[in-house]
Amino acid sequence: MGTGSDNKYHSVRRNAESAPAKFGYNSNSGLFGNNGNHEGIREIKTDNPIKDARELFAIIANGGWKRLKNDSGMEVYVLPDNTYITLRIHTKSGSPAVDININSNPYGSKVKTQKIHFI
Amino acid sequence: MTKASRQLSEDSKKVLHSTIGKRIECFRVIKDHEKTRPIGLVVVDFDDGSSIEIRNSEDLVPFFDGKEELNGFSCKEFDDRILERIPFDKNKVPTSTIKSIDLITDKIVVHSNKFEDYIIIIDAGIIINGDKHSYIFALDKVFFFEQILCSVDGNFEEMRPLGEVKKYWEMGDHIIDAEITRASEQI
Repeated sequence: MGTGSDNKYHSVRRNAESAPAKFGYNSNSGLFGNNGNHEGIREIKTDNPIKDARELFAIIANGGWKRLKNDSGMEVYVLPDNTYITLRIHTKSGSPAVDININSNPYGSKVKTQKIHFI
Repeated sequence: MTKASRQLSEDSKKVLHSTIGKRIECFRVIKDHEKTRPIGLVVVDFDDGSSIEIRNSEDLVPFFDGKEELNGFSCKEFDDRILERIPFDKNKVPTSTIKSIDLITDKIVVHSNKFEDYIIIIDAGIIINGDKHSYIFALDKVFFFEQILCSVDGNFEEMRPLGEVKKYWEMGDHIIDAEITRASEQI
């Protein structure tokens, strides 16, 4: 069973578009937040990095299946459209991060592969 | 030119080299992981009872004008005390005696109108050549993902197509293009 409690089909596009404005999702670029030092590296400034990372992860991974959860705060879910979503509470750069790894772009989804740091 | 690098350490190369002459018996992945696409770790068991782990983990390296976690391979002898905490699934594979090991390295040169040319060197694959079969371990195309693509007698170019790697590194308005070359070295 996935993270969501409903039985609807959850694509990464649908989940991304349901994210609150504070996460800065741009449906034209398919990216969250602001540019980091590569377009695929994103930054979201927040007063509560861990809470917001967990919140965005729960939204993007909604309807997915758990592939991994380890004791260092890393969780990996896969959505029905084969998108992998990773939550990293502890990273070597110090900020929690949510990764979106797109393996296909069904239904015209523009969501791009990206790593989102919460700083 | 500035440079980021995620390459196998000399210690990891020694561990791989030490397996030459042994017979591969099976792969182990963490329970419920897909056997051809485990995340983070593959354990290779040999006929003499020894095992090594091939790990894909992140490390913080200089990256454009900052630092970023890049994923890469490392290898060491498997410490089976981990089995007390984490269950593994054993997957039998066609057996072979190891004859040689190839390391596949991707060199990416990113041309940008914002930064000077940037070089990224990543050891992207390990190919264990047996007398009957070859065993391939490849990084995913994305630089921040721990997935390991595993195959017996597969085609590395199909597992990690250069075109897809290139596409990823060309993301961004300031990127002009990315050149990618792939090299193979026997270790």
